[in-house]
Amino acid sequence: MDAVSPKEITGWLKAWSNGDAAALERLVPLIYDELYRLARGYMHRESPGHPLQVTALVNEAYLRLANWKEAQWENRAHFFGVAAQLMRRVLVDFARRRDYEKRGGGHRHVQLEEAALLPIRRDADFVALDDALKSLSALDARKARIVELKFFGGLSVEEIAEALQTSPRTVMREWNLARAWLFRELSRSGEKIL
Amino acid sequence: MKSERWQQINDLYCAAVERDEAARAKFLAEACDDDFELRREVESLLESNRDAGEFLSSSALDVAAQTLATDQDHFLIGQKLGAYQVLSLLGAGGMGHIYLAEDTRLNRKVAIKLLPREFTQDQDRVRRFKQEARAASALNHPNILTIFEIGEHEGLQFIVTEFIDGQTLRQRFNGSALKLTEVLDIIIQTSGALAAAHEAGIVHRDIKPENLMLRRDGYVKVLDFGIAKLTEQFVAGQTTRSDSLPSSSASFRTGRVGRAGRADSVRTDPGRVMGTARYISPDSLLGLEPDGRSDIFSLGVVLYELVAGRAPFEGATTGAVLAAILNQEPLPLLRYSRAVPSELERIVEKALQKDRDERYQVIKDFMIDLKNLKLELEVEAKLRRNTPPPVPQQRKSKEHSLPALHDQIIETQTSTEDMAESVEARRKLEPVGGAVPLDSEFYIERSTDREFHEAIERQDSLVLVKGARQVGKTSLLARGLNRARRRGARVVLMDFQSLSRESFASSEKLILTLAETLADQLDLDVSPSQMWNSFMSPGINFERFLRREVLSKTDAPIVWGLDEVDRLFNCDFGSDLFGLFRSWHNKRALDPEGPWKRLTQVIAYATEAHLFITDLNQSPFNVGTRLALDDFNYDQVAELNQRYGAPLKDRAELARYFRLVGGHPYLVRRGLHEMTARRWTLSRLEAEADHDEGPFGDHLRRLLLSLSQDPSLREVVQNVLQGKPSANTDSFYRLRSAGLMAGESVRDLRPRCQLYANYLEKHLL
Repeated sequence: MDAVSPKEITGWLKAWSNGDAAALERLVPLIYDELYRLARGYMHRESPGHPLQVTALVNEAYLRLANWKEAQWENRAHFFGVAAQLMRRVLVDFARRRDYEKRGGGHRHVQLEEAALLPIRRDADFVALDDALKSLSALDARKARIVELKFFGGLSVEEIAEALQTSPRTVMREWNLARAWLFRELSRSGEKIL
Repeated sequence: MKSERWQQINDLYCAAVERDEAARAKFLAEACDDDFELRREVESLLESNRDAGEFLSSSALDVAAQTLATDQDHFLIGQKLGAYQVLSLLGAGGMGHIYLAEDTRLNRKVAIKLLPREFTQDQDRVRRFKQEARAASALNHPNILTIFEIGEHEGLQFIVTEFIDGQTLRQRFNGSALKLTEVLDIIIQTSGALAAAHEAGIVHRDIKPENLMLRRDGYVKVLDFGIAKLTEQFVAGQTTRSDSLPSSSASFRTGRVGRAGRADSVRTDPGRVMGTARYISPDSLLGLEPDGRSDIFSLGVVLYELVAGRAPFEGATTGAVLAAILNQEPLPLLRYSRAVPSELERIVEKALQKDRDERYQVIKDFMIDLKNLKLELEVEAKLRRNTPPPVPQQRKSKEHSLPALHDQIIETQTSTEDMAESVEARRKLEPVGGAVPLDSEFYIERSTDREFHEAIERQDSLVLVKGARQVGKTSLLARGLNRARRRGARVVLMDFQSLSRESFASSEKLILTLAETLADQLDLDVSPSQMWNSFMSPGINFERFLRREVLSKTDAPIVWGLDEVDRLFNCDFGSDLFGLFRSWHNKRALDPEGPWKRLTQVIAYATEAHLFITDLNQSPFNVGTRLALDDFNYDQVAELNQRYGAPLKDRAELARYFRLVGGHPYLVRRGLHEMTARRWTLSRLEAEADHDEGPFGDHLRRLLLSLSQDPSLREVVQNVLQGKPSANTDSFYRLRSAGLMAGESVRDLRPRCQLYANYLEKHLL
């Protein structure tokens, strides 16, 4: 696996964005590997005084995984968009599978703890968020996109603004509403089930 | 929702969110005019925004990695560990997570246990653990989890074992209550595994419900042999404070504690620490090297918990639990369930002795007692099924009818049929070898019964019941006391076997123990030790106490039962106590109307000890009313056969059976049970009952054991078996008292029954 170069990864990413489903299958294990590596590092850190650099590691991993400069994309926005979509797809599937297994392989049964337990802590939440995001997309595709880029893509407000060719302020406002809307949606579905 | 409407909501929201709270209401009221729905929608979104907190504030990958790391659950799933493809998580415990995996070489499912890293740093310890785990696995016992491999992959230590399709005892127990026979079965199987391990010198060290797997087909598998060795080094001083655990994991014994001991206090979970603490033996707590008896204690805790529904030693903190283990006596099981057989109570009590010298010394003895009890229950259940239930009036008329039973075991049973069955089984329980319950239908009265009851009624001062082992002394004693109680006597019962070893440290100690027990059972306000006068002998002190505080303060007769008194025979100062009892008897003769007339002592003792009392003049009692309890006669055996539903069909079968086991009460009952349960037929008993594996194996082995201690008696027995009697009066009485031989005279000496003859011939000739 280590032998895979960023260039190859980017190639697959591009292929996937162009509709090549097989490319996704090659990307997924890489992302899982990265996740496991991060998780392991987190678990086996020797001393608690040593600050955990999960975020830094994630960013590093992410950049290593798909260095946009290495490839010829239409533009940065294109690359970010594809990467964020990929992350969303992979992480939600991952969560769905974990959730499924945790429930002993039973039917999918999304259940939220109280709304206050969010921000997204459990696998079920990932799945529920994905569903809510789909609803939001039907209502307001651009807001859903912003959430995808920010949360799944890990982009900053400025980067999103650049990708969407708008102002950071607008992104901020839209993000604010999208987040409130999603939170309400998830709280409601949580109530319904609980 | 229409997109136009959404746009409206969007605009209003964005405008409102930038205003401060106070201004918002006014703004929205004006902007929405009378469109209340719009206003409500925007307000609800604003509210969500306020409540959303950190929602979506970090990136998804970050969240996913943290989730993964915190539950650690699936970090191996989908990965390969050498030849093992990890499939899913089976369970998580303090000693590591367990995964289902496939051995790709053999295409079979296996379980993989990943050892937490904090326990695998010390190479030496890991080596010792491996050694022990391999040794346990090499026992190849059906109740011990088989270990296939102890491996390592990228610095991760893991154990590959057979995959058990089932659940842990903890899970099973949490799911629904177990029937008593199920409980016994589980503990018996576990004992079997431990017996094999102990014989090989391996102590489990961490017996608890989490380490016992129940396979779907009913097999119990004991997990994690020796794994506690990884985490040992228990320091007694540190055991009493759960909230300030040492930060080094190695300094605490259990896996859970070790994990909790890590400085990130978020992971400290006192509940889990306590989960393990409940099963620790006092010996381990005191820093003694755990041995087989430590496992017996832990298994005793499990047994208690399964029956009572709660652990015997509890407390709000781990420290309190550990203190209870060291200092507290558990509540009798009877407190939780009136249907608990007294024999089970006795077994549990013996397993939970704080001093391991007082416990079962080998797990096999524990197992045998449980097996007998279980058999008894099963036979009773079967009997219930085959005979119509007695009419209620009948039951009411019984001496000791139990009220409707309400206990959690029964209440939680699902099937009413099962419920009735298990209630009946326990109601009628009569453990083989133990006392026959007062309300049993299987108690056979002998002529001695009548004499015995008359003696108590007359308030004789000293009534002695002697007989060989398992002849029914305790059952008779219980019936005598029960009658006396119903006639208004105050009744005290002391079982010498249940007194602690310390009580036998000196004559003074023993006498004080007896006095304290007496005061306790009679609910006296005074404590004997308070009025003990150090200038006087313990005997005099006891006598003063008895006269002043007991006999002079009541008009009711006092009936004081002392069971298993033969324990005194092996004790240096036994004669002191017998002398004391005799002197009370004499006092009464001298002063027939004095306070001593109210005291009746009823003493039961086994004459087996006579084997070792070489001088029969030492015989402890030569005063009082003496009753020797004998074997059943033919008619009594026939009567018992009827009560069992006549497993022996006719007189011919009865005669054959009587020839085989004679009237030996234990053998007779046990054999009838076996035949009723259809485990054994009469012919098979005749052919194989003398085998060690047969129903009487343990009983018979004990004969040999007693004989092996006296070569001269052994020789006498050998001679008798060969038809050349050589007994003298002394050996005749000793062998007869011990219940080994029977006969009216020296020349008539013969084995007590055919079964004994067969067995002794097989082993002595």
